[in-house]
Amino acid sequence: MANDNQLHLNAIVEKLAQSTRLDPQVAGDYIHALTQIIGETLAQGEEIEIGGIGVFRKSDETSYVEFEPCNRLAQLANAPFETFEPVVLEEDYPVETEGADTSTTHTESKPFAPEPKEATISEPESEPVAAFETEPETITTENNTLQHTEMESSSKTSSSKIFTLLFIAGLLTGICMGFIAGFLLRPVIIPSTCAHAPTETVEAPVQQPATEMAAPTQPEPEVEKPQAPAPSEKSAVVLDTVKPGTFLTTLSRKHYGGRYEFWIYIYEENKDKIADPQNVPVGTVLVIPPRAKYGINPGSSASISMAKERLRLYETKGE
Amino acid sequence: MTSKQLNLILKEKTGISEKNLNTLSEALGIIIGDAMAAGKEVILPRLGTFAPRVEDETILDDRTTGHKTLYPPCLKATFAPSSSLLTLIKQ
Repeated sequence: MANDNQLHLNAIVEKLAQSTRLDPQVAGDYIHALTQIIGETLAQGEEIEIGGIGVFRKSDETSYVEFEPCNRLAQLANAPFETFEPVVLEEDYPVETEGADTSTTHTESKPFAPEPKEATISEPESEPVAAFETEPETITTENNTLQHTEMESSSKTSSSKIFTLLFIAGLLTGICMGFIAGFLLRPVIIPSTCAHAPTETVEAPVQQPATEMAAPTQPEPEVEKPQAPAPSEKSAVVLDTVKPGTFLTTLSRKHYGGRYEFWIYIYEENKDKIADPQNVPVGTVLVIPPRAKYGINPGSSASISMAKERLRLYETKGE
Repeated sequence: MTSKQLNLILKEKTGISEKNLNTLSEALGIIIGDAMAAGKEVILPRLGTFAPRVEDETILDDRTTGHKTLYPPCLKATFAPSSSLLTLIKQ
């Protein structure tokens, strides 16, 4: 099973033949003979030097094979880090590793990882040898993690944009529907009586009965005593503003069923504001007393007669 | 055994000229070095495996100057003998 991180005999022979422009058979014979001679030499306890590669020797203590690469091979292998140079540090620089006697010995070593470029290119299903599963995998994982993070962040950004657009569209739709519904249901929500009434209705304290105002001059208690107004009428006071060409009789006709005779009640209700009932200043806001307060009934002749009698008393008093 | 002695034996065994042997030796070194620089292992049957190893950066006292020096990481060419070679050596 081929491994991208391993170079086997066939590939070596092929490369060797290509680089030397020799027959692959010659290159194969060379490698075969070379390995055989190295083994025999080491088995005899001798060291062997191969030009361009290095020196192999047998360790007497461990019966292991030691390899010392030649300078050329060491430089070629260290090509990825050849641009780095030792840096002299300041004296007070904190040292994490205890100083060694030699200036060229490094403390620890670990299997080299393939270059990030190749590690990224390698297929996911290719499993590197255990000795190589250090930095390249880390770099690949970091690259993949970064790519996944970027993809996730971009997808999150796009989804948030879509959500925001949907939210704004829904909000605008709701506002439009609200306006339309309000326009269509306006006649239902706002009563027709109030929609076109030029008057205003406000909450105000209960007015003093007219009998109290007329008591000193009115000796007819049974006629003047108004009926008890309904609770809603007691608390509701109608206001109207005097416009150009408006008289008290105009307001009486407007509010009391077209009868002008009841203007006297409006005058009595607003005595403090009206100096001359024949000439009420434009813009004066007058209180229109409720009908129940003075027993106003446009359809009743008695009510009309009572208003006329009140007017006669006023004129007599004025004279 | 020196490189020259090795070439003589190889010449006898394979019949390859000394010039070509030198060329093949240099080319094999370049192939192994390039492969290790690329993080690859080079496996030679009955001999062993050449593999690169990373040595981390280290702060050491430079013996010649006495200054603390930061040495950069480096790739070191290593060799692990095959089991057949170890067996042959032990015999």
